[in-house]
Amino acid sequence: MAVLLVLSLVLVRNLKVENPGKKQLLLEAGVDFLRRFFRGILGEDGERYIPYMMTVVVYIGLANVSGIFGVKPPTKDLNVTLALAVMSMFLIEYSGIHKKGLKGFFRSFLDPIPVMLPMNIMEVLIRPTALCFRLFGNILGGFVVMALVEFVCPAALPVPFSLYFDFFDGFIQAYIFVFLTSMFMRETMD
Amino acid sequence: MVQINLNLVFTIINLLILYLLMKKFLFGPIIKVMDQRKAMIDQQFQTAKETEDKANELKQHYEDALKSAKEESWQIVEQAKQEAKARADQSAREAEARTEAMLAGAREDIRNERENAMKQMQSEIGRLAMEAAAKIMESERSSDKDLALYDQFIKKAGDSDDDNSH
Repeated sequence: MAVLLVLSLVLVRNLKVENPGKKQLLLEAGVDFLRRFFRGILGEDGERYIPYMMTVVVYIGLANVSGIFGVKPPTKDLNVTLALAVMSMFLIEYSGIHKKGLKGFFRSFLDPIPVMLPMNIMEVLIRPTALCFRLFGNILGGFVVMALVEFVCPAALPVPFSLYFDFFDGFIQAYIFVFLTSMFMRETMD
Repeated sequence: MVQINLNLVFTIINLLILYLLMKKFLFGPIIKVMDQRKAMIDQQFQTAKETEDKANELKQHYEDALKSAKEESWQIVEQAKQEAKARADQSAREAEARTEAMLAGAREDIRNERENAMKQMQSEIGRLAMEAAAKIMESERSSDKDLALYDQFIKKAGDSDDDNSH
């Protein structure tokens, strides 16, 4: 977190409207990519949730990759992923309430047919649980496999595994987490 | 290992703080700058379009002016041509008329001259006749002389007549 904060402070310094430098262009390209990605999923109504989603994707991405620096990835801890999932859950339901109003939100539990009511209520808890355990399981699994590989052969062999488990898997999981959260938000808002 | 503890609450608090900080320091400024740039570019496009429209309008205006000037010059030339032609026609007509008049005057003169000559001739003939008569009266009443005189008179008169008829 401290790293992220310092990085963002350094990067955001002297932003210009005209003639942006290379650093700024790179930063803008990244932010613009994420922004467009979330706007594509969330639509115009979800404009206000975009900064949070971007924060989460950067946080999870960095947390997952932090294993490469020898730190235990925070997302390996169930509490962290659970916290993220709980936040997502609140955000999903809040976006629905904000869009439709309290009455419309509760009525949407009867969609598409009233028989689906129990399913819809369960979904509220199931969705974040799935999110939480998917992230937790992937990172924990990667971490365990990495530990085993390092135990077997500490030199050279861990490199491809590390690339896969720390970078690829880490970013994919971050992507999936925010992608699904956005999708659920969109679903709830519709 | 898998257990839920107070860490959950801390994580949530930390996440919220991170979110606020990131929003304030990273995404906020960047998005603001990007929006500003977008607005600037839009404005520039707008300005460029306006300028182009204006230029087109001016061009149209100038073309119209050029066209009207051309037309006007053509009209002037045409008018000048017509005027010149009219003047030439008029002068030609005048010259013709003058020649005609001069010719007529000359004919008149000739006729008058001839009449005058005739008159003169007649008076001359009369005078001659009178002279001849006087001469006859004056001279002796010889028939010979008379005859000779008549002959002479007739010859003169005939001669003069012949001369006149030519």
